Amino acid sequence: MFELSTHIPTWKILKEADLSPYHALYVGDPTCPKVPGNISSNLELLKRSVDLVKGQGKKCYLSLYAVPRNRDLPWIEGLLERASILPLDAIEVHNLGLVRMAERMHLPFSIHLGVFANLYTHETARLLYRKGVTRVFPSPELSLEEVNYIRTHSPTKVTLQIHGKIPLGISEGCFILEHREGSCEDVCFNPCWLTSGKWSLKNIGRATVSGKDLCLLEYLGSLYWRGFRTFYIQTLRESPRYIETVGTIYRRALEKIAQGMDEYVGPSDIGLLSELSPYGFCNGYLFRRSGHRYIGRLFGGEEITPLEVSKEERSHEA
Amino acid sequence: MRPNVTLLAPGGSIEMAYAALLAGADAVYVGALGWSRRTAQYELPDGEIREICQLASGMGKEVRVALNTNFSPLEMGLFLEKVDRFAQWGVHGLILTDPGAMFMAKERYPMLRVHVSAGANALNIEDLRFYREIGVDMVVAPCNLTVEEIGEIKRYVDVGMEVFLHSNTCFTYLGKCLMSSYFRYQWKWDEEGKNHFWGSPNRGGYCHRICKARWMMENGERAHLRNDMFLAFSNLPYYLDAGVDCLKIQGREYSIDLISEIVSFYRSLLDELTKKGKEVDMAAYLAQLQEIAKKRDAQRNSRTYTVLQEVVEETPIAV
Repeated sequence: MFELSTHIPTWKILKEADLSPYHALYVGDPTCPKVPGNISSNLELLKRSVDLVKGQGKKCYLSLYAVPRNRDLPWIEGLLERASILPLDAIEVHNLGLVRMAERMHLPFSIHLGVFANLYTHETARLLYRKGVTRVFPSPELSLEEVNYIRTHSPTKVTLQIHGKIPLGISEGCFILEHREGSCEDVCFNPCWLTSGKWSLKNIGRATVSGKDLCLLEYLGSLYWRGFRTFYIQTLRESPRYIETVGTIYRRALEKIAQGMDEYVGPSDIGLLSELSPYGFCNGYLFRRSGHRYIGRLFGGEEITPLEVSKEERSHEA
Repeated sequence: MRPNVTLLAPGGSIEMAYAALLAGADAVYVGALGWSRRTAQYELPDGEIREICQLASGMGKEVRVALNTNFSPLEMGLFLEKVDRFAQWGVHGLILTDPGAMFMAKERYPMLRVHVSAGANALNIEDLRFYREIGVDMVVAPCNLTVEEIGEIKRYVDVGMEVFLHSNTCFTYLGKCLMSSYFRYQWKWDEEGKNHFWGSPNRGGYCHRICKARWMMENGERAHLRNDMFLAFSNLPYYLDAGVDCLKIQGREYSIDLISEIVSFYRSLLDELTKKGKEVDMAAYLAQLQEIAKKRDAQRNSRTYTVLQEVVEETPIAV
């Protein structure tokens, strides 16, 4: 019917959070292999995690390091070789070299292309499908019609982020270690909030995400009825409460939508989501606007409908 | 020292392309209007690209065209029209970012060289093999790669390698940053129907350099989002030893005089390295380069202020 997934970076989060709202979990943190307890950097943790996730009747996808250099290739290949006997459902790769590696190794898993791979066109999705990629996570910078175009013009499934901070970049070094004293164990789980006037960003080490939470709750029905079925909530460096609460709200909403119900936003949903998002909400780029804006009826959004287009846009489309 | 390395220079205008070729560049790269990782101001309409092709051909030199934005999937038809046109005009190579586009261009014109843009961020040997297998001829190495990594790639992958001599390192890996368009992003079409995606360095080439704003951490301390000048001067002998095929000077947005000066500098250094090898007085060249770097930094900083200010006017921040 539909799939709701998220990333679970560490064994600790896997044990602590109630993951019942999710159908599938991407295990491992793709942003940095040095994240303490990162499931995708440690075979023993991976085995335990796969057992736990599969034992809960969920799909389990191994999320690999997003920006591997030459020095990372041997350990990733070793991990994949050993992981090939595990009952994983897919691996998530963000790097075309790792797509090639997986193809060369004839792994028994599907390949999902992650967000940091920068997929922008259906032709790239088609090319990668021939190399074993069955699902793609298009760049967040694409509009809804572009994402839909990729979905309808390539054989791959398309994942759509519906809530959580937008991945805005991945760096070579760790920003947190550069700015705070201590080891990875000391500082990794304390993200840096960055502000500049009204702007906000959140840095989680090597990756930078939006300060605001992307929220598509009020558009969920429309997305579902357009044909989207693979939904993702971004929860890296969020608390177990965040993971549970957001997952529960969206799972419930999606189930209502699938049953044909129009009223799927619960009375307490807005308040609960707001509590978890100190810097507010945005819609990302789906409606052809700057990523930080929120357009819509909820959360004091800008009062233009997403389908409203400017004069210039209208003349172009005419 | 291996002599046959191409010195590639920017052509932000016909005048700049001509000046760079006169100053000793073996090839120039130009951006097709709306399709390259720079703003329209530093890109060229097709007619001017044709003129540069004729000009370079007369001098026995090469032209590469950058179509290296992450364009819209809905623009694939427009992209192929451009490829057809440039191939017929005798362009030597296309610089591309989208793998699907690379594959299609190569299928259509097997003799046309396809270069992987630095924006595609090819980071490891397997990446390079992937690109080689889809027909790519040359890969532009991101500035993050060390000389050792570049050497490994040249040893194990049969693909051309191009490196920057003079560039900037972004806060994130190049091509993987959405911070600019997160704060300001506008869809703007030109007469040909190409969307310029203002505010997106990946899609339209317009970066507001958000990383250079005055960012503060929760404890009140200033946060520095690294975005530094990259000068590969000291790596140059190693690049040549490693068998790097092309040395690239970035800077379509700089003045013609500055680009001429940079090209002349590297032409002279390369020629001397070829003749004298390790006997070259690198210290003297370094002193000269430091003066050039100051001028380049001044031009870049001035532009940073302008592009950041455009966003600030919409959403006030502290610059």
